[in-house]
Amino acid sequence: MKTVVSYRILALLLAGAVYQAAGQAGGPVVRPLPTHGELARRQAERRIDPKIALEKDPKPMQKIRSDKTDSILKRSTILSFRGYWTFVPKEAVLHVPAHFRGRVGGPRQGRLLTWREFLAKNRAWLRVQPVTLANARGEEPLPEEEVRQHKTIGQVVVATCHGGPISVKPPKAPDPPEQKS
Amino acid sequence: MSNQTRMKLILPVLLAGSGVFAQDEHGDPYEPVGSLTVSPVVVQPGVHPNMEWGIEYPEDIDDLVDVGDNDELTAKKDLTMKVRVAGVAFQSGNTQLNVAHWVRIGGSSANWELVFYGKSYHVNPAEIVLEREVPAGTRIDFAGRGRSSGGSWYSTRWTVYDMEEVIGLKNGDLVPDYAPAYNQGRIEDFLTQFISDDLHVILGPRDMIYLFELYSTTPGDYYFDMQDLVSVITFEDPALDPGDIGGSHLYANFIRQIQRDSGVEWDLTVDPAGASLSQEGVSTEGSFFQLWSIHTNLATEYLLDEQFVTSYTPNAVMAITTGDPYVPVPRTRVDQPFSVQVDVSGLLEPGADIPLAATQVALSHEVFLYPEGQHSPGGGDPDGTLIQQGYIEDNGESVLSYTVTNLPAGNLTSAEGEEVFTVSALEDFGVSATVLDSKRVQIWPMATGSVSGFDPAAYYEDVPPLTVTLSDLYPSSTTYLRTYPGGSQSNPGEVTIIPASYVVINDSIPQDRSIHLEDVDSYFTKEGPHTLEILHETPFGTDLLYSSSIRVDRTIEMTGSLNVSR
Repeated sequence: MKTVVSYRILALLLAGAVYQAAGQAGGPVVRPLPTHGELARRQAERRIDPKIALEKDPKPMQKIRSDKTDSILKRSTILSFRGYWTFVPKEAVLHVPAHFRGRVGGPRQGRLLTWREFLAKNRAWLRVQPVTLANARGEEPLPEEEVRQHKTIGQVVVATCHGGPISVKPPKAPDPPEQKS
Repeated sequence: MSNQTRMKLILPVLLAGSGVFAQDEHGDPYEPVGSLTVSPVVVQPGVHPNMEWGIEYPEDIDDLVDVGDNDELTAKKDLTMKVRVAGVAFQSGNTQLNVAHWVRIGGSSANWELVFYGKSYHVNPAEIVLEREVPAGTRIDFAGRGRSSGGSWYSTRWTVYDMEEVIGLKNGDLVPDYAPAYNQGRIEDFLTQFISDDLHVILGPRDMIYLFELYSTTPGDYYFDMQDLVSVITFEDPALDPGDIGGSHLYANFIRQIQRDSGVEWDLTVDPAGASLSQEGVSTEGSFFQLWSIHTNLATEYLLDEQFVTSYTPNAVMAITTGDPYVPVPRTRVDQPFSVQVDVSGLLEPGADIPLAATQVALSHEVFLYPEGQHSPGGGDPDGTLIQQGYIEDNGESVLSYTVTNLPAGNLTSAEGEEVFTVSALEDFGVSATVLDSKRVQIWPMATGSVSGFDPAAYYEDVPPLTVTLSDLYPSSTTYLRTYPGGSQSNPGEVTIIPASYVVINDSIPQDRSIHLEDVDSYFTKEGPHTLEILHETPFGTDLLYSSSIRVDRTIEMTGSLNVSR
C-alpha cells in the first residue's frame, strides 16, 4: 500500500519536531578522524615499562614456537575410505598390507571424522595396537609375536596409547656393553 | 598460555567490494578461537598435568535459532533478543497511516507484546524497541497490523499461521519474488542498505529481518510490496562461554601432545570444552600441547593455542586491553590506544651458578598485515614484521601501552591486521627457546563515508536523491546521516537525523554498505545552506566521516514591471 507521491508538506511539519529531539545541542561529541600523518607521528608514543629492556636493533628470534605449528595434517598420515577420512600422527601406522595401500597416506577425500568415529566405521580393515609410552619412545620394542601378527592379519595396524593414535619411534640400538680394562 | 593464539592456515577468500554486493557468509567470531591451559606448567618428568580447553566457533543465525514453516523462531540456546523497527511505509495517498508491531515470546500461552505503534516518521531505526532474555527452546512469533485512516484495522499478519504477508530472512536470502516491488526497483529508502543489487539480503551473522505486507492479500499484486513494516531482530549469546555448541558440528577438535626429546606425537580427540589429565605425561625436556580445530568439510586447520610444560622454565601470562568490550578476540581500531599486560613468575635472581636463561624471558612484538580482501592473516604460518624485542628480568607485571596501532602501512587509516605479543623462555635453557604465552589483538581500519547525488555549489529547490557509500564500518557501530541549517559546527543545535540512513552493525569484521535515499528533501527545513554529515558511533566515540553543504533555495523570484495607466 505504498504510494510514490511525496508527502513533503506533512513531513516538513513533523520531521523537525520529531527528529530535532534526537539532535539537541549537547549531543554526541563528534571528532574528525586522524590522518595517516597524524597516526604515523603517534606511533612513536609508546610507553614501555622500564622493567622491559628493549633491544635497539631487534633481530628475528629463532623459532619461538614448537616449530610444529605449520599444519597438523602435514605432520600426519591420512587414512581415507568411502567418503570419510581421518589422520594419525606420522609413524603411528605400523603396518599396511599391499591391498590397503590406497587407503593410507593418500589424499583427503570427503569428510573428516575423528579417529574414534573413523575406527568405528572401519574396524573391518583397521586394527589397533596398544603401545606403552616406552614402546612409542623406542625404548622398549614391541613384542616380536605381535609384530609378526601384523604381517599376517591382513589389516592396517595403528598404534594407540590410551585410545589415541601415537607415533612409534624405531627401537633404539642397545647401549654397547662397557669395556672392562 | 591460556590465550587465543591465532594461526589459521587456510583461508577462504572474501569477496571484496562495496555494500551493494551480497555479503559473504561468515560467523561471529570470524574464525574459531580457543584456549588451552595445562597446569601446572612446571612439573617433573613423568607427571601427568591437567589440560583444560574451550573453543568458541563461528556462529550464525542458524546456530542460534530454528526457523519454522511460518518463519516463527525457536531459540536453540539461551539468547538475548533485540528488536529494532527498520522502517514503516504505510500510507493512503499522502496520508501516513499507523501500524502496530507485536512480538510474542513463549508460544501460544504467552502474551503478545506491542513493541511499536505509529507512522513512518515515528520510527527510529537505531532504537531497540524490545530486549528480552529468551531461554533455549522458546518459540518467538511476530505480528504486524495496519490501520486505515478511518481507524479500522486491516487483518493481522503473523507467524502463527503460514502466510505470505510476513517473511523472515537472513543474510544471503533472496527477497520474496512474489513482491514485484523488489524486481521493479521500488525499494523504500530504509531498505536499500539491506538489499544487494542481485536482490539478496545483507545482514549481520546474528540478524534476521522481517518484512510485512499489511494491506494487500494478493501476492504478485502491485501493492503487495512487503515493505509496509520492516523489523530487524538481533540475537546475542549472553553467556559467550567457550564450548558453546555454535558451529561445532562443522569442526573436529584435537589436542596433540609432542614430547620434546623423543618427538613422539599423540592425539586426543576432544569436545569443544572440557578437562582431562594428560595420559602421556611430560618428558624430560618438556612437552608441547597444541589445541587444533579442523573444519570437517573444508579441512581448514586452526591452531587455537599451544602451551609448553617442563620442569625448568619460568612462566608468563599475558592480557591485552582495548576500548572495545568484544569478547572472543581483543580488537580495536588503527587510531585507538591499547595496552599489553605481562605477568612473569619463576625467574631467579642472577647468581654465579644461575644460567642466564633462568633470570630473564624474552618478549617479542610482531605485526601481521592482512592480505587485501581478507580479514585474517592468510595461509600457512605467515612471518610477521618484528616491531620490538626485549627482555624481562623481574617477576611481576609489566605494561606496554600504545596510543595507535603499530602496523606498518603506506596509509595507516586503512590498515588492517593484527599485532602479536609473545613471551618466550630463552634459548639455551636446557632446550631451545619456547613460547610461554602469546596474545594477539585485531586491528581494524577507520571507516570512510561519502554522499553523492548533489552539487555543493548548486542551489536546490528540491534536494535531489542522495546515495550514501560507507566502507569499513567498525564491526560494532551505528552510522547515520544528519543535517542542520548553516555551516559546519562542532555542536550544532537544530539537527535532523535522516532515519532511513541508520546503519547498525553487529559483526565480527568491518562492513561496507550503500544506501539510496530518494525522499530527503523534507529534512532540509530552512532556506540557505545546510550542513550534511555522516556520523559513525563506535565503542571509541563518535567520528565525523563526512561533511559537506547543500544549498536550499525555495524562494520564488518574480521578475517584471508594474505599469499604471489612466
